[in-house]
Order: sequence, then structure tokens, then C-alpha cells
Amino acid sequence: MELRAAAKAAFERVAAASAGRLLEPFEAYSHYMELGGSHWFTASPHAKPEPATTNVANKGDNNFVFVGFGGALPRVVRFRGPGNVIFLGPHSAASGALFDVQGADSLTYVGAFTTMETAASVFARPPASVIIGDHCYIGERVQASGSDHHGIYSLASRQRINNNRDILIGDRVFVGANTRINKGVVMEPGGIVLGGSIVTGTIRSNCAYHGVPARLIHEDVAWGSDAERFDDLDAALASAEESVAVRIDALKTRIATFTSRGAA
Amino acid sequence: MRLARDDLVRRALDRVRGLSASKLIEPAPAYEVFDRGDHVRLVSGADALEPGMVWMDGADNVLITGFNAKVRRHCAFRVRGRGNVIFFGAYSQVASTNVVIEGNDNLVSFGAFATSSSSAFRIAGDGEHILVGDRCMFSSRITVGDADPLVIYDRKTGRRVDQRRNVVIGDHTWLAREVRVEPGAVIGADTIVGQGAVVTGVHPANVILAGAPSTVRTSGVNWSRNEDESLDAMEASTHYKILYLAARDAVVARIAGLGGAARDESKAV
Repeated sequence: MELRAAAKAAFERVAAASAGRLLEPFEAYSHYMELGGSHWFTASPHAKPEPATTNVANKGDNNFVFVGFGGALPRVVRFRGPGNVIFLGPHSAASGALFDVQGADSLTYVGAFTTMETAASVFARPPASVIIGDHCYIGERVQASGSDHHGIYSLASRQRINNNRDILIGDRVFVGANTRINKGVVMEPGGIVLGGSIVTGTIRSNCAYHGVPARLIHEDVAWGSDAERFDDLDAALASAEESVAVRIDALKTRIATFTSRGAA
Repeated sequence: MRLARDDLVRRALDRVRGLSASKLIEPAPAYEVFDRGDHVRLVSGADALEPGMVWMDGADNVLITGFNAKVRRHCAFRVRGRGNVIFFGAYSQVASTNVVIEGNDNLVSFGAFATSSSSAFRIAGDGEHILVGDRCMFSSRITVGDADPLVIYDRKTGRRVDQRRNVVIGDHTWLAREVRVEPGAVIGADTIVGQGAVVTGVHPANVILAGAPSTVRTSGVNWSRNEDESLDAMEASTHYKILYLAARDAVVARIAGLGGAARDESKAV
């Protein structure tokens, strides 16, 4: 298949997973580079990184990385298997992060304006996907893995009981440093996990959790960097750094431009 | 007074064989013996790797690595005392792993085919042991034992409260990231210990342990290094048949050829 067409097919999987989040259309991803045999499409011109900056190990065909406008290139990307897609949203900041994909046809999605700190790691193990929403904060050395990496079996049925499962993280979720996010975890929008926790199961919207395993410690809370209170996401963003609001507006304009151009 | 080297070697191997759950321990003729000044080193097989740092302050301490054991660089063994034994079984693979012993006549034994990617084994005391069975899998940042020379006494009777300080980890047990195994813990065979668990007390085989302190979360399970769909698929896999069974048979044959007796007759999963 022609590369551009294959990339478009891959991007359609990103669009399907975006679920109304801030996403530029495929036409915006006009800058191409090949890193270690994997195909990178970026919405803003990135210089081809030095090997020390972005370390790509690619074993497999048809592996795609999309980096939205203003998004950073990650520190380490490993593909072991074909047909995988990694999406890093516009203005996402995952420059110190690690993405490790083993298997075929997985999707890793990091939303717009989401920050992943140094050595935050995503281990995508197909058929499970890892979806992280917009405006999230993922602290240092957080590890999110869709797999236990080894099989666990019931002696009675002799079947595997720890199959790979999706990790679904909603918008504006906070994950503190050193937290481990297990397979099958769902974090609802506005959820908070304090550092050093091990997350299993579901993190409810606007609730804070902590511990091993993570347990509920506060209900009906929101997080921010310095403001004193937040009523909802829009208010939070309005009272957050002005530059963020400006960039969101600019991004929406940018998306609208591409969309109208495509329509015309 | 220092023991004669032959006596020391025999005594160390008897100790390992007597205490270890490991069923694949080669007899004395398997090893080449080196006098390293501060300790005696027993090496089986030609392509042994040497740990990055071995520092033994005292006398009659012995470091033994079995056939084809890979004790890689970034491992550091620090021993202060007399008559301590550190043993890594045949085909064990160990990286970034530390052993710290303060005291006399202690034993740290790591089984055949067991692996460790970054662990610390710590003993502070006399005559204690940490025994890890065959085919265990240690993930990262695991701590076994305790370097504090702590003893708790009952104020009324004056007796020790925490009698048990030895650690025994059964065959084919998987310790996930950041597990801590406290002094006195006993973990059964074919067990999975979940991330960040703190294991105290005695636990049965074929369970999943998790939490701090750990409790049994699921019973009647087993695990494998592979991600096969079922135990049957795993047992049919090349990984299991060639990399484990064939290698194990080779070790058993080697032990028999050297006049020893392998005790591994169980059908391992």
C-alpha cells in the first residue's frame, strides 16, 4: 500500500479513538520522517532528532507515529511487531517518555496538552490499547501497562486468566510520580491518583485515590497547579495559564481551518 | 583459625544441599575452586560471568555459581563475617542484584533457572538463610530480608518475639516489581506476588499474593514466563521444551555424571 494511504488508514484509528477530543485532521500531519524504519507524521516541522534525543527501535512494518502541532517527540519508542500506531496529541509534552509496543495492531493515544514527565512509560500489548485523554498530567516514572507480561493460569481450567486489557484514561486526569497503572484500569475524567500508588480497577471522576492498591481518599475534588478552586474543566482552563487558553483557541482555529479546507 | 580449603568447600556445599529447596545442585567435582584472598570462589562451567563487585571482609566465606549461571556485572556482593555462603544455581540469570550479609554462617541460595533483574538480598544475623527455589522470576527493585540487626524481646519473659527470620521462597515463584519479602516470610511454590506487595508470614502454593501486608487474593493458579493462552499451549511451546526441559535434563545428566543425585523428579510447570 502506498505510504500516505497506509498512514491515512492508521490515522483513522486515531480519529475513531479520539471521541471528540482536540484532534487535527489527517491533512495537518504534513511533515514526514522515517526513524528506524517506522513512519512519523508530524503537524509541525520537527528537525530529524539526534539518536540521543529520540531513540527508536523498530522491528515490524507499517508502524506509525503521529505527533500533533506543538507536540514533543518522545525519548524512546520501541516497536516489536507490525501495524502499530502511536498518537501524541497537539501540544502534548512527552519528551521524556517511553513507549514500548510488543505485538501487532495496537493503538497508543496521548491527548492534547497532556504532559508525561521523564521516564513515564506506556507498555502497549495488543490487542489492548492505551488511551490517555486531553489535559492529563502523568508524573515521573509512571508505568502504564496493558499486560502482566507473563501468563497466569487457572489450575482448574488450565486457561489464561490475565489476558491483556485496555487502559482508558479520561480527560484531565492526574497521575502522581511512580504510580503503576495496571491492565484494565479505567480512569474517569478529572480523576486523581497520588504518587506511588498501584492502580487497579476504576478511578471515579473527580475523586482522589492513593495507596497500594489505590484507595479512595477524597470525593468531589479537582486538581490544578496553583489556583485555589476549580468548578469545572472550562473554568479550570480559563483560570489556568493564559497561554494554555490562547493555545487551545489557536488549535481550535487551526482544526477549523483544515476542516473547512477539506470540505471545500 | 581458617578451615582447610577442602573442608570449607565440602561444608559450604553440604549447607547448600541440606537447606536449599533447589533440586539441581551440582556436587563438588563440578566446580573449579579459586582462592580469592578474602573468599573462596567455586565456578561450574567454562563461561561463567563474574559479578562486578565482591567484597568479603572476614574469613571462610564462599561464593558458588552453578553450571552456566550468569551473574552479570552490576551485581555487588558485600559480606562481613565468617562462614557465609552465597549460591547461584545452574542456568540462573542475575543482573543488578545485591547480596549484603552482616554476620556469621549465613546462606543466600538462589535456585537453578531462576532469574533476577534487580533485587537485594539482605541478612543481618548469625546462622540465618534466604532460600530461593528453582525457576523463580524476580522482577525489578525487589528486597528480600532485612539489613537491620533488629531483635525484638518480650519485656516480661526476656525472650525473642520474632524468632523466625529465615526466608524461604518456593520453586517457580514470580515476584513482581517492588515486592518486599520480610524476614520470616515463607512463600509457596508456583505463586505470584503482585506489584508492591509486602510479604510477611507463611503462605501456601499456587496462589496470588498482593497488598501490604500481603494476603492471598486468588488460589488455584499457576503462571508462566510466556504469554501462551493455556497451560497446555505453554507445555507444548519451544520455550518450555527446549529452553527449560532440555536444559534441565542436561543439568540432571551432568549431576549424575559427576556422581551426584538430582532430586528433580517432579513434573514442573
